[in-house]
Amino acid sequence: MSLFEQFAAGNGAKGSMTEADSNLKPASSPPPKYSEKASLFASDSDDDTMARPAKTSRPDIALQQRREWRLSQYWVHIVVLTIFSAMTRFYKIGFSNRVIFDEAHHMGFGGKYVNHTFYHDVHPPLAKMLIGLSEALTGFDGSFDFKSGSRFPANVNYTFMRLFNASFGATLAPMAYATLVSLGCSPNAAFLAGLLVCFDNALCTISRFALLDAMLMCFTAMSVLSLSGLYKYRKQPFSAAWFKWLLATGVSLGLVASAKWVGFLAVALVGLYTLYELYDLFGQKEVGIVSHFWHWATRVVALVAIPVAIYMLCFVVHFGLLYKSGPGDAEMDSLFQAGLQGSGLQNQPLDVAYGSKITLKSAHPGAGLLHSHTDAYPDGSKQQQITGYSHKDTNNDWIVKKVHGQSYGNTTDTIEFVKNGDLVRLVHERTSRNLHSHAVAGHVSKRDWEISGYGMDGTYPDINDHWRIEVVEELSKNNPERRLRTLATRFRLRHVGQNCVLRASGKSLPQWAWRQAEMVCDRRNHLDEKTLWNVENHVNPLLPPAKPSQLKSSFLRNFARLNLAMARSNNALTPDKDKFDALASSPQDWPIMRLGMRMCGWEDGEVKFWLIGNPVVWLLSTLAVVLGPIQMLYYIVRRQRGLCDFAQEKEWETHLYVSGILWGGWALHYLPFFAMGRVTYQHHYFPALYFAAMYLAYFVEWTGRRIAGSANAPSTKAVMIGLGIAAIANFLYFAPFTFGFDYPAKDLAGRKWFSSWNIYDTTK
Amino acid sequence: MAHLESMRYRKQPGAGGGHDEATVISGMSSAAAGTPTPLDSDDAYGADRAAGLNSDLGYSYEKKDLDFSSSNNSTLTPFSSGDRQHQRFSISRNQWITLGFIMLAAAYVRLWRLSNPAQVVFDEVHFGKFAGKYLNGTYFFDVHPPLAKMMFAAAGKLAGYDGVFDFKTIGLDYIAAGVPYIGMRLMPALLGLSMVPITYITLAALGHAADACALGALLVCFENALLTQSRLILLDASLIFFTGLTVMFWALFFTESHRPFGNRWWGYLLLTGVNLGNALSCKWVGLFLIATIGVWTLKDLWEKLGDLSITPAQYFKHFVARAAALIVIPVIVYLFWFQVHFSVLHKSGDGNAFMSPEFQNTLTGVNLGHTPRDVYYGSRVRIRHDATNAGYLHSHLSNYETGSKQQQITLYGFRDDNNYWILTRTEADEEAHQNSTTPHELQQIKNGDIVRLMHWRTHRRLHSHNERPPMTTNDYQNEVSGYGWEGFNGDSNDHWRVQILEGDSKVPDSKKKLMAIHTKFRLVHVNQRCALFSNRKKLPKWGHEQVEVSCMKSAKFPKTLWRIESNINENIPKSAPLAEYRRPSLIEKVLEATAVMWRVNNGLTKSHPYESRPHTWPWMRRGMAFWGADNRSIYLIGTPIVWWLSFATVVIFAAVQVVLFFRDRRGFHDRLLGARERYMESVGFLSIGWVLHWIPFFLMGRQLFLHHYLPALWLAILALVGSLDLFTRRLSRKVRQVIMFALLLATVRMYFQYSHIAYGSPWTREGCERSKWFKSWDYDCYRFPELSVKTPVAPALKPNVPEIPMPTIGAPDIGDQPVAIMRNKNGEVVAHVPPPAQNFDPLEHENKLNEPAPEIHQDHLNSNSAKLDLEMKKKATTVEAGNDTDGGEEHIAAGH
Repeated sequence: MSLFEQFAAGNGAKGSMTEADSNLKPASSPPPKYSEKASLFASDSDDDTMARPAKTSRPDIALQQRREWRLSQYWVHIVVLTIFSAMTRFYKIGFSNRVIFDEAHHMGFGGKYVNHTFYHDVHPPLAKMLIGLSEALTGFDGSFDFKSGSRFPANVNYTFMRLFNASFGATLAPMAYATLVSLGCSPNAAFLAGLLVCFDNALCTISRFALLDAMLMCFTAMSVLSLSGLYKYRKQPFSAAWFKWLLATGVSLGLVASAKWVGFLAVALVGLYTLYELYDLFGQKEVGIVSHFWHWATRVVALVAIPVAIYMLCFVVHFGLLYKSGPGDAEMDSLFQAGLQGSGLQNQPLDVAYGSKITLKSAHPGAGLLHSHTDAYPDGSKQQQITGYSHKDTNNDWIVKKVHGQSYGNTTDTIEFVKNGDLVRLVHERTSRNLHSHAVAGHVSKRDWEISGYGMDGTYPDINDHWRIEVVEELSKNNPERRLRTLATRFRLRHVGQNCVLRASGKSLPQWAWRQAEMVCDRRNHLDEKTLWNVENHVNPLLPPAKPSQLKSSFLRNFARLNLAMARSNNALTPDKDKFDALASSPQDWPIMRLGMRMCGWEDGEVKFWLIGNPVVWLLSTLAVVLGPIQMLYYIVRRQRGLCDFAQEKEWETHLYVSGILWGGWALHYLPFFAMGRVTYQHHYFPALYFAAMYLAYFVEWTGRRIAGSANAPSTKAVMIGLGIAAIANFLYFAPFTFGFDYPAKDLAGRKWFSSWNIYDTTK
Repeated sequence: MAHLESMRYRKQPGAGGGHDEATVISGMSSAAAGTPTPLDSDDAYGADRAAGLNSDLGYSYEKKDLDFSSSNNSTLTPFSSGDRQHQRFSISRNQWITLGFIMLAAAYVRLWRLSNPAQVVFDEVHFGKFAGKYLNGTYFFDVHPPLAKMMFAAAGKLAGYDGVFDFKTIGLDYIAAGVPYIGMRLMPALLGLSMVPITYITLAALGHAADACALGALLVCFENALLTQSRLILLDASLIFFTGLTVMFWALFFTESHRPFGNRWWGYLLLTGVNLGNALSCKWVGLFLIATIGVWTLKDLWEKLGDLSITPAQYFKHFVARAAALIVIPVIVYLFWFQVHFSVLHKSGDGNAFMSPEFQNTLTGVNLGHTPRDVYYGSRVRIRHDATNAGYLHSHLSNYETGSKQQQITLYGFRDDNNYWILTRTEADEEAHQNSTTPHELQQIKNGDIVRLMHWRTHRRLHSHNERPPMTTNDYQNEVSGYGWEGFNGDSNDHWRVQILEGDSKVPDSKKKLMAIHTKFRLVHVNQRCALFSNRKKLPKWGHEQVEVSCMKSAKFPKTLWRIESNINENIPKSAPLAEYRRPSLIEKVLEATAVMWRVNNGLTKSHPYESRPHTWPWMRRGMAFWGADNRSIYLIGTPIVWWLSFATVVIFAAVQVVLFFRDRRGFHDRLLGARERYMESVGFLSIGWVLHWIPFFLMGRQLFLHHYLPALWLAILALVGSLDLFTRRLSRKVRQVIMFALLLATVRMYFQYSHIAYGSPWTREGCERSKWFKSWDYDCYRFPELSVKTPVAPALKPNVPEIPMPTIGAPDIGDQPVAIMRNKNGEVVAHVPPPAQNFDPLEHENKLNEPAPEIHQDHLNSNSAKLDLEMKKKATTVEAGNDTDGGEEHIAAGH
């Protein structure tokens, strides 16, 4: 299905909008005339094709010809933009044979898919899986580890990997064009937008490496393109074209959210648009309740269910591909790890029995395994320390024993299993201390009781060594006796004497405990995740190993757990605010281009890339997004004052809708970064820039129409042509930064427009 | 009931027009007052009738009752001639009498047992102390603006407090110390009392009926949380008072909206602005009030914009008047109170340490004085850390217990001899200088020079190397230590480059040459390329809890900046130029104080036993213990019915607005029994105020307390009464009265029930237990004596396994809680587990942050010095053997 048939159809349909409207309106009220004057494009010489209903038109050969001409004009524009994009994205793409910038991460993660080893990262898997696909297509054997700045070995076809990625970036310009056409702009403005996107140095540079951003931007552009289609057909809901665009929107949203979480900002844009549309619909009295129901239902299915399904599908594939133990194991819970090849958690006995040697893992990430060592607390009870420790060593081993005064069977026949509700004693294997608590304040969390190691196994019996097993969650099946099971049972340990629960406080102990995690006995009944435990390692020679099928974690659990872990890692990326970071930049730096970014080492002989935008695109689009709301405010104030600037209300509404999508897209993709605690980089602005560039083109056309009276007025055209030429010229001027340069940076010091740019350090 | 007397609109003489007297709340109130009911038969304000409603009920009201501002529906009132709108708001004589009676009751409720307890309660610890500081004139620092505290100082002065008593801890006795605390507590109590008439007038000005106004005033009077909070030396009473005044004048301002730019219009507007400034000068919560008034101003201006009868010139005048009154005046008021604050606190005090040296220099008793301006090699200097006011670069004869175990380098807040450093050349430079033609000439230190700093007292040199500092463990931070001894030449890790970043614009050379006071510079370690840095982190006990100094790689500028404050060199001629600190202007001082308050306020993140998060406030999950003694206690908790119903009112308002929004969209224009406009203008305003006084707390990371909700609570109470008034007008008079009485009675009942912990008066355990509806209301009922002595039932004892102390560790296990053995009447032994320990006394000082580091006993240190010196020398000999912790420096040096 060609894009242009759709445009053609859309243009026809635009005309028939009048019909649709008049059908909806009660007979008494006159149908709104969508006349040439009312149209946003009234002044376009050939626009009557759009305004007049196609069906009712007489067989008018001239009209037909004009429409065909228009269609071919679209084609020419698109082809030209695509060629330009391909040229800028693919030119000299293999110039540097080093691992540049975050290729170290993302190509590396791609390699994990080739090797099938489990890893952990802050981004969802789709884009990285695509990079992995490109690596697999080159026949990459997984032997190279993509260390930052290292040279690619001969057997790694990095050029293809980059080309694969760049092809996503090359779709941006044609999509920007199509979006604006679909939103009702003139071909001139749309072409200008395409040029601005195509010839922006930053968008070009970031697309030329195997990073996630090109894919993210491509999917973002797809989302807004389908949204514009949805907008175009909003007056003909449930038509075939409307359904197509709705489906396309849903799919794009799924893809964009699965590429990077920034994609959720695109979801927010579509969501807000949809809500506004539904609100608009709500005001139409003639739309009945059943109709409302269908409007809601289709949107929920297409814009919620489909994206969620795609997002989850990406994780299904992710888990399916990464079936071997790898560097990311520790972020997941024990049961998941047991399902990975080579994790060492398989082949353990399932049911924990008295006398078993176990390790206890906290469900709180970062708390690790319950640990003890011979050091004593410096104050409080001065008994032996109990901590949480992430690394595996023998000090994590505990023996499950019965309470003081009771013994248990120790042959295969007399073995006794630990069940829910049992009173147990946990004895530290290396030091024979009992896990103990008492009414002594904790060391960091003063409001809870201390946990200590006390006694010598059974030598000094004390009721404070007794703990009750409270099973909270059982993940395996067929456990009628509610036995405590390795990995599959999540339980609490309740202290019998104090009625408190063993809890990882989430804080670290001071240096005297080697900064290990603090354990407390929580007396305020915080029954949260921090109080949950599971048995991770289990050794008992009397018991047979479990079947692998019994130690399987469900997908939904893994999915939820991994997403939580991603969120946590993401929030942990907080910068030290006293430290200067040459790569990081803050949101207020982006629109004014205060900083560029060196993407690689800066030695004179090496190929160097400097990430900087095209000032024509960046600065002017910033100007547009600032002036746009001011202009809007001007109109709103005049409207409140009863002054009418528009011949037809429709013109104003159209302006609101289009500005809402483009300016709103910019704002939604930009402003949230101010609220983020994590470290931010220049490339976080790129999706916003894509919207800003389109808004710039729209703003020029709109303002031209308001001032000169027509989008085709010579002055408007001149401004557009001027902008396009300036953008191309500036792109070429900054081209060395984009395509790479292997001569000293000093030679380009003249292009350092702002003193804050770090092309070349003049103070050295 | 006299207070049910009607509120009347009086015709203004000269206003002209057809109505001699228009009774507003016609039926009910007049009848209650025993006068005939003059129903306005010629009433043409047909909004109700237009909505198809007829007022033939026993209790009736007209459109004008609900909408005397009626600016927005001129189409609905075609006959509106203007005279009705020009009736001026006033309160009838009967209403004043009612209010008088209410005041009498309120005076009793609010002032009863003000003397109890005669001890320091809760935050009286701070605010009593601060009042004393004003009387003494010694500068202190607090996170709140000064007005409320100055009011306490004034009250204390009037009552005869001399500023000597220090309010050190909760529970100190006032009477023994002779503190006139009743006088000081009278001030908040009177402010709290005045909330009663403020509530009344505000409700009346918002267009509510007389009975509702009275109900509102009584609810505020009997509300336990407002009561408890306004009897003690706490800031909230003042804040709530000024909040109330602001809202009252703002409501009155709108009653004048048809006579813009009249005297009263101006008066009310200006008074709103002044009190806005006062509220802001009590606590920064006043900012939320500014937001409330601001939102409403914008709404009002937006509607005026659409009113084509207002010309652009008039509109501009409206705009400027509001900008002046609501922005400029509050700022002026805020500055004014700070000016008073600074001029009263003119002496040096314990707040100095928070302020910049420029600021400190304005206080009497601080004399940072002059110092020779130009810094030369060989000068003995004190170096101050510029960003943190944490003090001077310092060293003393104690060693680190971590890392290299060399001598500590810290920041120390007070001037002493251990802050002196001698600036010297590097070995090579020194040699070159000695061999030059002018070996004795003074040489000024310039930007880019490499220097060494020798500690004057201990002869250690400022040193850094690839070791992690004790507190900050990032790998890009290096330890800074004192290394070497007299006679030892040191090594290249003692080399620091002087990098000048800022100078005084009036002394242009200060950007190139090192000058005392004018120049802000970094000290960049030559080998490690890190800059001398401090982040206000305190060292542990072994570091005397002074502030850590480290050397940070790629540090941002602010926390690496240093300034030389004293510059001593015998060779500098007397006539050499001197430098001294600039004297900051008022605005600079206020900005600085505000910035420090902001920083410290955000730093108040330590957990407090009685802190609570905002989401727990409206439903009053938990109160706060203020004070406790043998069998009495004070515990801040609200009157449940008032809190819950007022919260419900706001939620209902929001829900109604959402429903209306969608129904409007669908074309149904509900009139809400004709009350819709008034509902928006009155309850809407109050609800938005409530939201703006509550939601912003969610964004705050600092510790928060239940009393932060009180301004929002007051607004919510008004909203409750307003809603009740508007939606019972259509009911029969009896039903309306019954509802209002029921609410009032329930409130009074609960007031009596909880008054024991508001006044700190005796109670019984049974009464206490009965009043504890939630477990989370954690006032301690065991404090109170049992009413009747019943046979206590022994609680089931836990199995009591005797504990055997562990020989290996030696410390006995501290097992279960102690079990008290008691005997009952029959002499049988019963065990009674005592209640858990109360966490009263360590109620932490809200502001107890960043006290200056404790003084080090020089004697104690010096006694150790010989030993330390010896150790140092030993260490140095091992350096030659190549076994030093500094071993890394060679290859680092080679690296760059």
